[in-house]
Amino acid sequence: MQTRVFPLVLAAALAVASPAVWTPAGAADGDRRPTPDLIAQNCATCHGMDGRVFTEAMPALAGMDPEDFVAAMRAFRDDRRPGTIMDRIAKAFTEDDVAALAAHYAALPADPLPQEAHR
Amino acid sequence: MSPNSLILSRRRLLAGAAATTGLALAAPVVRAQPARHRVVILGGGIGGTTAAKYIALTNPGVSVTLIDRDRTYYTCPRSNDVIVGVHDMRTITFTHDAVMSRYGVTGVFGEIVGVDRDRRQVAMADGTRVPYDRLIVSPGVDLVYDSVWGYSEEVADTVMPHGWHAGRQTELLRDQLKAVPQGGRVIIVAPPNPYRCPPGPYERASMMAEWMQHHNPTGKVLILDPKNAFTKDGPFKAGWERLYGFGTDKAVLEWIPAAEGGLVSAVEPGTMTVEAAGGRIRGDLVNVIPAMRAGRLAGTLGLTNGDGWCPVDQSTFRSDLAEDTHVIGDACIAGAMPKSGYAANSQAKLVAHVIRAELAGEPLPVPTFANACYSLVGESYGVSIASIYEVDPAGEIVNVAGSGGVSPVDDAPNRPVLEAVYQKNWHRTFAADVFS
Ligand SMILES: Cc1cc2nc3c(=O)[nH]c(=O)nc-3n(C[C@H](O)[C@H](O)[C@H](O)COP(=O)(O)OP(=O)(O)OC[C@H]3O[C@@H](n4cnc5c(N)ncnc54)[C@H](O)[C@@H]3O)c2cc1C
Repeated sequence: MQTRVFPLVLAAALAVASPAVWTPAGAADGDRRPTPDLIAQNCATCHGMDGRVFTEAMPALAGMDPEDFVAAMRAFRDDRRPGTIMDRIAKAFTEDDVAALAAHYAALPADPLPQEAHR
Repeated sequence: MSPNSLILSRRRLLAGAAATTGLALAAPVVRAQPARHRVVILGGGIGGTTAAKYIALTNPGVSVTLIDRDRTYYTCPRSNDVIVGVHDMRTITFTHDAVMSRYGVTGVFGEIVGVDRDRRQVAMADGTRVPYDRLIVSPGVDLVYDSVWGYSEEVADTVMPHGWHAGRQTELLRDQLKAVPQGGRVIIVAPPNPYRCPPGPYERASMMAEWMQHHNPTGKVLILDPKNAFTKDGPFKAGWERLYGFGTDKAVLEWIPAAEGGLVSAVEPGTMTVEAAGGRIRGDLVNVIPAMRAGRLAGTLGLTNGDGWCPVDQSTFRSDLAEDTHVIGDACIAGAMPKSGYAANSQAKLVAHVIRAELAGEPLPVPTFANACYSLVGESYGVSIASIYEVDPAGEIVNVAGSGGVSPVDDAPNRPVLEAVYQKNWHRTFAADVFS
């Protein structure tokens, strides 16, 4: 069973702000969940490696305030924030997944990565 | 005992092979040089290049070699908009240089002809041998030319391109589109399932229809399909109605499903004629996208089943048919995941974590995968599909229930515009994730 480390501040924020614990259908309580590291690598495809690529449309995630991150994911999940695809994606993750991701990104440096790979 | 077999033994130990357990424990672990596990990746396309980068990042002690026949890679993603001149080949042209220099990946360029399993070496056409402990195979797809009578590689390279491997084929289609006479007809022969990039033929037809509106207003695009449904067909058709008069007698774009005679059995390159179940029809541009199977290399290495695709354990992408071999990308059978670049990229990342866990003797990672795909119905009109996947108790990759899906159709007018902006941004971030 992996352990997740996230700032106590965030844990406290979650405890206050979380109205109900969200579990996507099929994710039973106590299941081992994917690590934030692996989930985040899948986010990288749009948001850049380590969430450190900036485009007009897709925000960088590195260095993001964890409370903002959690609030955004909940808003997408609950269809309170319009998105192109994040509304459909956010519904796949548990509250714990999102908290772990928030801590993961908060700990990363917020400067952009080089990304020019063209010939 | 060679240094590398230590790692092998440790892995067998994990797998619970009692016979090797004693051996591994008895091995001179302390005195052995720390062996560098040698991962060799066959195919430096989207799956393979992502694997090289992320295996190196996730496993600092491992030696990573990436082999491809070409130093230059053209992404199929956004190749449809090259065909209609929204941008040029430069946008889809990449090399492996950044992944090699930034992450310490060794590049080997040449044709892979086989694998010597006893000696644990990859055999190259020029006689070079590349030693490995573990193979990652991502050879993409092979086009089954003879699935359409009269079609062949030679025909594809001249009069009836497929455009399903980007590069020269993309340029051929671009040039032939420009040469269609006023009032002429483009025919796209869509492939049967399963195939690389399920929305690809429909995106291409859309882009060509938009091009016609601007440059050849009396021209038409006709899709002949061996299927009766396709991915995102709801939002696609809604877009076609809005943009191209789909379903009216003024339609720039028509789609003939199997039920209406869309199944094509033969082509006649000399007369540019297509033989469909519904009748014979001539085109000024005929784009034949034939049936597909795993890239030829997968067959050569004995990794394919009777249908021509590679069965794998969907939690680790280990081949069901060969030891120490993972197959990722279009070539493998990955449950609910489509044959897309995003999927190949996501599978590569899981394999990087599987390797880390196996080498560290830790439990295998809990798999999670993603796929998101924006298609253009017009240059400023996008539609999308997005999914997060998990592995179900039966070992099959499934969509996480209650999540994912396609763009809603009854939507705010700005959504398709935004999705088109995201499509362009996605290609940039995606290409950077793979190639830089
Ligand atoms: C028109 C079109 C549009 C697309 N758009 C999108 C999109 O928007 N989003 C998306 O996610 N996907 C898209 N795709 C799908 C995407 O291109 C593929 O799913 C992806 O390329 C699969 O990666 P792969 O690693 O399996 O194969 P590939 O990327 O094809 O890589 C295979 C590599 O193996 C090499 N190779 C094979 N055999 C040998 C050998 N014997 N010796 C040496 N080298 C060898 C090849 O040279 C090649 O570089 C699109 C596809 C098409 C056709």
